[in-house]
Amino acid sequence: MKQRDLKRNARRPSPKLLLYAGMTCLLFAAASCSKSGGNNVSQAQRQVANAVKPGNVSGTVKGTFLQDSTYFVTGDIIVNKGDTIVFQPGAKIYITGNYNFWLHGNISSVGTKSDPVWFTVQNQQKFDNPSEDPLQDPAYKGLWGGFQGDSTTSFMVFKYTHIEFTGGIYGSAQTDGTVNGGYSPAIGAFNINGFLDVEDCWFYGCIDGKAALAIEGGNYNVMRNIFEKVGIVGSECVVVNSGTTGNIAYNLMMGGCSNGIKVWSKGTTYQDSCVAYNNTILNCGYRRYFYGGAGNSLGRGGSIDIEQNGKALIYNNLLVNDRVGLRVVGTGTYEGNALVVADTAHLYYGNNYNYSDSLVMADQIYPPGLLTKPMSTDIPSPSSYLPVGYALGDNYDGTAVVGVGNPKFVNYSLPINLTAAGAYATLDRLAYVTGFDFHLASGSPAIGKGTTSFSIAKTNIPMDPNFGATAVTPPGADIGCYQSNGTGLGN
Amino acid sequence: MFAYLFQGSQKILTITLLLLGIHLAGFSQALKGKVNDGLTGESLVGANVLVRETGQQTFVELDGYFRIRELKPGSYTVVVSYTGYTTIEQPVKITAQKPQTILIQLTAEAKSLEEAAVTTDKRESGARKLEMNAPQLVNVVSAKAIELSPDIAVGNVVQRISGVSVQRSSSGDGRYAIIRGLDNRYNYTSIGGVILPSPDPTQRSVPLDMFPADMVQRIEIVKSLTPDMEANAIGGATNLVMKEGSRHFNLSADLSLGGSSVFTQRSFSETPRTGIDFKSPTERHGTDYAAKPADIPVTPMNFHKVQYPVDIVGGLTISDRLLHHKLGYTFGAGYIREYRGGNTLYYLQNGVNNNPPNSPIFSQSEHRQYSFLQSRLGLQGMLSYDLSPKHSIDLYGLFLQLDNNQHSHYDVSPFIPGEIDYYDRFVFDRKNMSHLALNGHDKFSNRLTATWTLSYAEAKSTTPNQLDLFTYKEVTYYPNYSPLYVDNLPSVWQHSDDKDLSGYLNLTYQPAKDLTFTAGGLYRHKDRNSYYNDYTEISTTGDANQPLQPYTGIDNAKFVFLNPYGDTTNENNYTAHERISAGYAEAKLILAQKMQVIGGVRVENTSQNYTSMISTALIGKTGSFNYTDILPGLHLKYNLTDRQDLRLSYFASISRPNLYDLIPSSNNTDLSSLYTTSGNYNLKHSTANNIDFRYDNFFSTTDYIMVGLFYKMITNPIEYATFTLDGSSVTQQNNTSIRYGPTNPGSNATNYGFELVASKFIGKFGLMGNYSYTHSTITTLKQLSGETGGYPTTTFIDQTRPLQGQADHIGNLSFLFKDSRSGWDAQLSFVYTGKRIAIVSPFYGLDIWQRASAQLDFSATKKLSRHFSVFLKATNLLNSRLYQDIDHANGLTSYKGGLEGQSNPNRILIQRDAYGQTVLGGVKYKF
Repeated sequence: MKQRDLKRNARRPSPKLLLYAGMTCLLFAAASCSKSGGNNVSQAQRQVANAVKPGNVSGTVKGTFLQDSTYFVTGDIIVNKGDTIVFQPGAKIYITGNYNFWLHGNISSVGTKSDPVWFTVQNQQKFDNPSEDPLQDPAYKGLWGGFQGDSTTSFMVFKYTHIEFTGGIYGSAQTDGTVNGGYSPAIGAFNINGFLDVEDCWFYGCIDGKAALAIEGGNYNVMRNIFEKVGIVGSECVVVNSGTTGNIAYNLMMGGCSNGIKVWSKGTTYQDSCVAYNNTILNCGYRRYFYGGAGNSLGRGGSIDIEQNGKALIYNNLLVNDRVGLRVVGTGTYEGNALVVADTAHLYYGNNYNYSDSLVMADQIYPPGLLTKPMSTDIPSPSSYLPVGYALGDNYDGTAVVGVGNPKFVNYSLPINLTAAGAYATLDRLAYVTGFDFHLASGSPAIGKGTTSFSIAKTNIPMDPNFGATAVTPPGADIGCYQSNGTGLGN
Repeated sequence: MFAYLFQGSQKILTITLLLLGIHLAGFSQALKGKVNDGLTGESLVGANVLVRETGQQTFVELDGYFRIRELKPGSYTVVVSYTGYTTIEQPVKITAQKPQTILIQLTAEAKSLEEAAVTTDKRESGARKLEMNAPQLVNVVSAKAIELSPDIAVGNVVQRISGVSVQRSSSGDGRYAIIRGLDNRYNYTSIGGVILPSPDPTQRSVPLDMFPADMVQRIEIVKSLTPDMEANAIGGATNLVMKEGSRHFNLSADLSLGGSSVFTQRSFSETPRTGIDFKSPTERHGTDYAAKPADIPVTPMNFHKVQYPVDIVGGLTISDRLLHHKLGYTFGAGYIREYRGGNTLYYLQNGVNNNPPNSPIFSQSEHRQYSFLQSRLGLQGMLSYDLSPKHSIDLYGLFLQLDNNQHSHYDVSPFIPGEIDYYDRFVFDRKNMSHLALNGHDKFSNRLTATWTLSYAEAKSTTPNQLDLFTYKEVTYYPNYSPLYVDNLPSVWQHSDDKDLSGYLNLTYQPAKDLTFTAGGLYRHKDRNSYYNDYTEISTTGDANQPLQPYTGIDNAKFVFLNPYGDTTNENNYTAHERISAGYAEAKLILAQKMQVIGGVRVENTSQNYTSMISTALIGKTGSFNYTDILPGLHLKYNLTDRQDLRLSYFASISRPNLYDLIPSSNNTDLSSLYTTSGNYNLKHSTANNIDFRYDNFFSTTDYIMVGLFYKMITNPIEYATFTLDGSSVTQQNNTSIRYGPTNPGSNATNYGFELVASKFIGKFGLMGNYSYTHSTITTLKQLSGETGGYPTTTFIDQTRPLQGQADHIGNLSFLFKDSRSGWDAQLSFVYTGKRIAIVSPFYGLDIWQRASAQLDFSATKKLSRHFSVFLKATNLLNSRLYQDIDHANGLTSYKGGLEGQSNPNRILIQRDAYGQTVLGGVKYKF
């Protein structure tokens, strides 16, 4: 039923949805108002039921990790079904080995912008420069696992939380959906009746799991997060699979191994819809290409990827130097049925912005052999460079758009010219944001080119500062994650 | 006479003239004679017949007769000799009036009937005797038949037996027997009645291609189990009786050379076997050790080409009886070193599309070239000692080793253009079987006897240092390709060990001639463990600016580990134990010398447990299972005449799950698979009620017919299908809770069929054959991906199909020629296996079927002297290929430019295997 609504709404938003969207706008406006006003009203502090004593922690845990306290995880953490672990702002959790948080119960990790929660490896140096060999980079070593939800997990809430150096190999998997010897995602959600809320977080480093965020069940709200250095030979920043519905918006995804976002429905409970909008996705698909090796048919690994039965709304995304543009998998011009087709009947997209520094990428904005339809609202306009008589899936010459339409970031110079090896050979390593600023400079051609006339996904996630969503930012008029009106990505 | 009819059948006149001619010429007369074993009545085919007065010499032919033409009337002495028998001289008087037929009976030199059986059952006629007299329904292949057959490993011999087809190994050799449509899960393999453990890390079945065929005295396929037999078989039991001793010094040896036609078209790719490490880095240095590239030896990846490789097959058997015949020994050795190859075309199914529902789709085609160097070594020995005339013991030992050195090379063409992938696999795989059995025979009185066995058997397999090298070329700007780049190098170490200690005791009490009571029992303890570790190394150049590494040979390729600590906790690591305790009581009653009734009951208790690597936080880390089966059996045999009987059997039997099947470890790290595959601790063992009927007519020892019907009802059959561990329905579930693996579908399986075995010999020519019709049904849950109102839906619906591996029609036909005079033996053998399911798909209607296949083989032996003969064995004369298809509208027919093998619009080719012909020629010596 929801799916049908979506289809209709894509053309003309229903009054109910408009109301809903309006309410969220108001909510967000209220939040931003209090910030800009500079008032400083103390928030209602959560009362601590079961304090977890700072210091070493491992084994079965429930209760609260205290504000501004330091913890050392010295073994797997297990949260029993029905239990919840809560992390207060400023809690620093150092993981000392390849351990996981096995969540049969729930988690709420809510920091603040100025006092975030940290899950990291103590004193681990970051190698953020373009000459570093990714194969030696600790970001891709999987120093610990991540947070593995179970089919019994009701909610997983992460706000203003840093999650770093994840992706370790499971020695002893403890939830349905994980397998001994497999690679962990930073966060895995598996309950079709649960929800995952990830707002204003930072993800740095992950190796080869399904994704940094593997959403394989439930509702989700993935907003205003920064993803850096996800995946070495495979893996996306966010993957959504069957049994899910939600929004992915205002994220900055820098240098994902395969794709920024992958949507498919490979299971028995169908993926309802994924609305991916106003994301800025840069430099994705290169490590998949350089290190993922064979099975690397042109076009695998890019920006946003819609595969088997995946259905989605994809608008206002800023795709810069990704190896491949929006990738809608299907038969295309190929007659033999090679790939499982995306649910193209329920796939809507437009107003996506492509920028390519080299011809190899420009030739792949509309990947040959696949089903991505050039949309007249796309930027640059497909009619400006696709040949007359272009048919879906055709090869074309993208020379005309190489280097065309620099989106003008505040501090990130294009074309890429950081090493003598050239852009294409550097992008696998340009997977960090330190030193850059991806706000749109004034005069950016991406400003004001977005559409706000589509409906975002309705989810069952309650609005709650600790046990639900804080802000569902509605579609923005500027393409990408930063809005000139100050909304969007803010951390 | 028949031969004459064949030759001159154009006109009756001709025949009449011919007959007349013979008659008129008739101062001479023909002599025809039958030569039998005086005790058993068995024909002694090949016995030497000499007419002393004329010096005319001939041999007993396949039909049991010798023929001497043109003897003038008078008195003659016919001298008949045959190895193992006392030579006899018989006077004959030839008159002019009519041709004469005489019967000559020889007496075996052996003293007892039992010993006579030993010498006779090597021969095919002895095999018929066993089939006729056995209390069970059994099909037997004798050593003689194997020797004359085109086969050199047991796995290929069994496909010539009625109701049996084979599941092949990747080299194309028969590996597991499918008996009456039931695959290896439902059968067992024993040696002299002792069930053997399996070297396979996940199964119970013993690969039959481990056994060199010439070490075997006979192969029995037992299709109805009496209470004194182990009950773990529903299809049937394959019992191998290994070569035993004789009363006199006996030596036979053979040596032959051969080759495969695959390597006339391409070279064999050999891998150096040096440099591999039998232990994984973790085993060498501990689980905290981070492996370095040097810890994964890659020398085996230096493949080199061998032109026209030569197979070697050798065998030796020596036996004697010493110390006044009290101490006997037998020693046998078999060695086979063969180069096998296969060329395969494969299409990889990638999933299904919803519209139309369950439309299979494919991602790539693969051309695969296999090179296998297989070395089989078999050693066996037996010592037997008669403590007294009433008590004897024997000690039997067996050692088998099958080494398989493999290089597989794949050229992979993805349908989405962009690259060509290459894949090279090195596998060295060693399987061992060690078996030691102490057997005793005690005769306490004329009425009470006992037999007992203490057995130790261990099956091991190791696959160390398996290497999978992936390389690829990019299509940068078609048709230009990039250089060949290195991708990654996964490696695997795997070994398993399965040990059985067993004791068997049978007591027989015979209060009257027509009544026998037997009771006994069995205890067996099994220890099994399996180790598995894998690593993945990925390409590195060490230069981040030039990350793509051109491949210039394995020794130059540089790698870095993705998982330096290995993967020793995955689902393939487990230990398990099993205890079987069984007892039975059986009575055999003979009514009015016509009706044999065997009835009894067997009780088997099974106790199993496993320990896995599953986390203690999850259900199923360990499991133990205990059940008892009470299994009655009733076997009736009614002798219509001396040579005809009717049999009716009922028995209950079971099939225990493979221990690995019980372990709910998930083994899906591959995202693209739809389900987590895993074992299932809810799996129940299968039980079956089996009914058999057979009519036998042994017209003569060479001409016979056996006609049988069978019906089986299997409760709790074990099938691969979707299931949930908590037993909830497989519908709208969390994706993660649906698993794919062994489960008991809700309904029973049925299996019934018809078997016909017949043989007819005319003079030097014979025709032997069998035909089986089998029909089985099983219903399992399958996935249907479709659309409802334009939206994708997944539903699970029942599909009824035949059991995996069951062909409706299977048959064999052999045309035999035997001319004892010239010493020629030849046979042309045809094997037919009907269409059958090769792989059961999780998707509704998309099972992969193996097309009906036929193979023609030839063998010939020529006796050169009393001691020497030469032989030739040739297989797959017609170069038959094996095909697997999905019976579904074929979307690949419209692929641009066409795809090899995809021209049929109604079926999709999945796999096509070509193994080529093989030929082997050699010399045999018999003392």
